[in-house]
Amino acid sequence: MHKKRKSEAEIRTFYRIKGWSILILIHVLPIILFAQSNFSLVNDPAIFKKKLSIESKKITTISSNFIQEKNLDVLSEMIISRGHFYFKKEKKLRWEYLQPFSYLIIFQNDKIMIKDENKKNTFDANANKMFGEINRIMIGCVQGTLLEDEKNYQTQYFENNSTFLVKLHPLSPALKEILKEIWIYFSKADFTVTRLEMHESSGDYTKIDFTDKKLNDPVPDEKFSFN
Amino acid sequence: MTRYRMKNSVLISLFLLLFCKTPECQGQPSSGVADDSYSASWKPLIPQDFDKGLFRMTFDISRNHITGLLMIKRISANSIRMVFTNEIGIQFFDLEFEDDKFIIHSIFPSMNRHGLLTLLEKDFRIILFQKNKIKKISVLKSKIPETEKYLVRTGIGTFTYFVDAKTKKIIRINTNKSIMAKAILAITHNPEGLPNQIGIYNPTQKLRINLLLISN
Repeated sequence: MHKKRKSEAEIRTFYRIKGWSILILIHVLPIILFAQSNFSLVNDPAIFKKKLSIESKKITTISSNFIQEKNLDVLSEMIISRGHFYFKKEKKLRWEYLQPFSYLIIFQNDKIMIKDENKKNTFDANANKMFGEINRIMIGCVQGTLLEDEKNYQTQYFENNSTFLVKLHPLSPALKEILKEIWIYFSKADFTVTRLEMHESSGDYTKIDFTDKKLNDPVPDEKFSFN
Repeated sequence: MTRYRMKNSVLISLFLLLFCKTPECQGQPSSGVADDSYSASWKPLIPQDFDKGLFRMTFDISRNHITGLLMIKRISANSIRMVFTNEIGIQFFDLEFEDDKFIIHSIFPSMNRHGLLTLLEKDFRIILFQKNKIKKISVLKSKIPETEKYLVRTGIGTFTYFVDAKTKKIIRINTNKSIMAKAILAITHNPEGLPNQIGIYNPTQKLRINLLLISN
């Protein structure tokens, strides 16, 4: 009888603790999340830019996985793609989409190579306006050079305790038609890009998260060709 | 003068031959017999209860090769929206098809050409086409084994449908009406639901669109 009463008390205590835990979680979790996403304006962007320039000079290669979410606002739909990403100094990028389709895009200096299933195409970034802009945005984001492009973008700098966020507003009418804003998230730990967001005027946006990042690991040149 | 008139009449004849070679211009097709049984069993390419579908899309026009993802989604009972983006997420177009309305919500600057948009509307309307638009179906003689051939007169034009004799599923559609809007559609099917692959070819404009179903 005594044992039974004891176990009932234990159960009550367990549920009381569980109830409190849930309450704490409900109240504290949003505060934690808010603190993480709550960005404020950077007081002195010049310090950030200088630090970014120093740190990016130390990086010769980046390899990582990526998850891309294309949010179609009006359709309330999300298209999720996954793949591998490689960067090698000076201007070599490899985006390899593995899911839900196979697609490879390589940026090498001013040359853009695309492999779509079995079809291979090579473009001159200077001759093709759209691909030229994509090339400039991608390389510029990874190297941080896009931040210096005051002719084409107006920049705003934000930060929270773990991340710097740079918002780029295109200035040229042609670019404005394609993109409303580009948001680049830099890790405060190593000054590399952790997330890239491309926002369109329609409200649709593309979010690319870089995961399992490896810096300065050897990346063979063959990664930047079809062979 | 006589030579000039002759030259003109030859040109006019050629013009008539080119533009009125379709059964629609010739009145009833010689072998065409109204077919109520096929009409009753006729199934649209995109089922009427369809909700959404994600396709891998390739778009070839002249020397341009564009690839990306096409999301097709029903917005309401009489409205379907199509959004085409490239792999990196940049949007090429956002089009809405209502019964008699074609709404361009957004279009990539270099694709914003009246001729191209008209062609896209016509091509996609063939895919979205539903039974209530059919005016008459006539049987034509098919030379392809295990394939039935029908002449389908609709509110948006006249088409020749090639149908698998066993499954009664549409495997090919040819437009008959005019040279400029000529389109050839080749379709492969899933056992159920949306087609697995749709190939659209406009020979005059050398526009080729290929849709490969990813998910629905």
